[in-house]
Amino acid sequence: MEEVSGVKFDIDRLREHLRKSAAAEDDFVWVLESAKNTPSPIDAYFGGVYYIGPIFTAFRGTDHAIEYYKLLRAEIEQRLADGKGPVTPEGDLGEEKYRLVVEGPPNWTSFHDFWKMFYDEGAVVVASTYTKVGGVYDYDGFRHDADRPLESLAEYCLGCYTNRNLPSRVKMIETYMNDYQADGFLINSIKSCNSFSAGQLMMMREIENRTGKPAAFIETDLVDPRYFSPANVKNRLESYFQMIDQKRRGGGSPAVAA
Amino acid sequence: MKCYIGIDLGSTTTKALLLDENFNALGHGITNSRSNYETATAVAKQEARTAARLTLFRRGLSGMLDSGGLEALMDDLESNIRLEQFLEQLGDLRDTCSSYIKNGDGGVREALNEVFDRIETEAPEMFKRGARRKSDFFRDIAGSRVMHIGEEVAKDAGIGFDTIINLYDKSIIDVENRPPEGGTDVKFARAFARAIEGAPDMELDETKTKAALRQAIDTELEEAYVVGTGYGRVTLPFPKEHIRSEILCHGLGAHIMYPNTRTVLDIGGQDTKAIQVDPQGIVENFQMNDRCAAGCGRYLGYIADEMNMGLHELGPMAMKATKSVRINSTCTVFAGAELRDRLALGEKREDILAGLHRAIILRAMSIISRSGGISDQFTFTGGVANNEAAVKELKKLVVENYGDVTVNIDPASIYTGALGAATFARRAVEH
Repeated sequence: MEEVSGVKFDIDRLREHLRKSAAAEDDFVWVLESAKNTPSPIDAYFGGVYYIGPIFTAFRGTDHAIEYYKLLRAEIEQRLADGKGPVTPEGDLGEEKYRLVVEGPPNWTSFHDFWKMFYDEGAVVVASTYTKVGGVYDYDGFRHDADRPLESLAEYCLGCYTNRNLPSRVKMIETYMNDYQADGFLINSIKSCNSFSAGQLMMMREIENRTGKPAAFIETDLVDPRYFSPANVKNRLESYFQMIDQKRRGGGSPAVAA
Repeated sequence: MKCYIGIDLGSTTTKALLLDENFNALGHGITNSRSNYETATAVAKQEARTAARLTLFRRGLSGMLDSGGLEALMDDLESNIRLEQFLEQLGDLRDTCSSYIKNGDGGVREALNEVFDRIETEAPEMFKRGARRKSDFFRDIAGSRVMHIGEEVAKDAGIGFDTIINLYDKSIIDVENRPPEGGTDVKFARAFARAIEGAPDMELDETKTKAALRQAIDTELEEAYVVGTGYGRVTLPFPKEHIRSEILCHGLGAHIMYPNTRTVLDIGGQDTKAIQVDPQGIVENFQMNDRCAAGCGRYLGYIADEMNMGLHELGPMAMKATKSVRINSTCTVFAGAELRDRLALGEKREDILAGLHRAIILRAMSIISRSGGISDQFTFTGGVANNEAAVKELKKLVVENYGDVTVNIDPASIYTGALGAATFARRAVEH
């Protein structure tokens, strides 16, 4: 590694980065867990992918990341104090009607259209597995540890969501469903990432059985625009939201005067 | 009286259904969606209203005729109303075609009038009780007759057949997008006169019958609440609470038809859906095809076109098969290629069609299995449920995979979504 990179390994420098990383991780987890509130001040999927950006990419272990998550936390604390829901591309979300846990990556090629199908219906994602693909900090409390630098780096890699086996993913989702008081579980199954897509139908059945909450399955892709059929996805999502409604009411239509 | 209306805007056909206050179906109507959901909705609704008046008339006649006589009279009346509607649209088509003829186009006008005169003459025969038609949609019937008669007439008149067909092609879109005139009163009266004429041996108290007819026509059918569903539902000019997902509507519709339904399969034009419902008809889970419409009703439509057949002729032909040719792809795009490939290898049309039906049902079975499999009872809905070859394959595969399960197929299964929607409409007012 030293030969290839031309940089001498300095364990103290590594420890310093891990310490900074852990500091940012604390605020990041606070933000994710703010979705346990009703209404949730964040969307942990469509908003969540922005929040994971700095720590999963260029700024892990830097002062920039610490600063970003401090700012973010302050902003969310304010939203919470003001009783506001998540921010959407069209401003603050109105009434929170459905709280969902979402499994699988988002659709990048039609991200905005996809998101709109949720916020137009008042659907908020309170927890998602995609935001755990670059490290799981909330579920079992993992933090990078300056006192065990190499061990904690190894633990980090082993703990990333898609590196866990199916039973532990199911257990994690079940915990989210309960802790975040979700109304339902939604899978966005995509063609181009088997680390996610393999086994998802089994996961859906398990979550349905364990929680008794309605689950649904949609199919798109994260990179191939041809796999995103807006009419089809909208049809399934609307059906799913109406299904949650119908279950809540025990059948029938919303009460409307003739 | 108050009516509750469900409208199901499918990608191929648009259906409407009227319920009365006691949740009884008064009438249903269907038309091709013709890429114009607004007109399709208007036409389907008008058809359903006409059917509702027939139901009211039938109710009014009860006790006046023995059941055989009543059925015969109602059948005749219905066929004659269809005939009246056909003649009205045919007149419109004739006028529209004429308007496109350039001045001094010698011979074309006479030829055209000859074509329409002949269709008009043969029309009563086409709409006789028990007569089989390829389709009930004006476009299909008029189109095939203009093609057929036009060829003869053009030949005799020494003008190009193309000229007639071009006029038809130009005009049919205009005609289809003009919803037929109301005039229920006149149409009913004319149809009634024809029906009576056709049944001279029937013993009818004319005064009482006419009074019953009068009442059926005069009853106001007030639209208390309308719910729309189906592929084109977002195009409906309805507020959001009047629009329901087709999955919920099919689930509820199947439950109303067969209250013990737990699993529903709907094969429509654009989607194949497997739905699990609870004892109240509430959807518990569903799966459907992704963006690819392979193996849906539209696929059969392409096959029919490719084979120069009517959609309704595919099933009966497949039933004549002595074996089933293995078809690998239910992809609509590759359907034609695979079909020609098998024909080139010397396979018989009926055997290929049997294979095609099996391929569709195999795909549906995989979607059912993803939704959680089949629980007793199982209800098959949507246009493809009218296809006997598809039903035969389905029943076979259901037994192989899930054992002895009751399979329900209602003759009116194409209206399942509209029935669910109308039921939602009725419930919305009740709450």
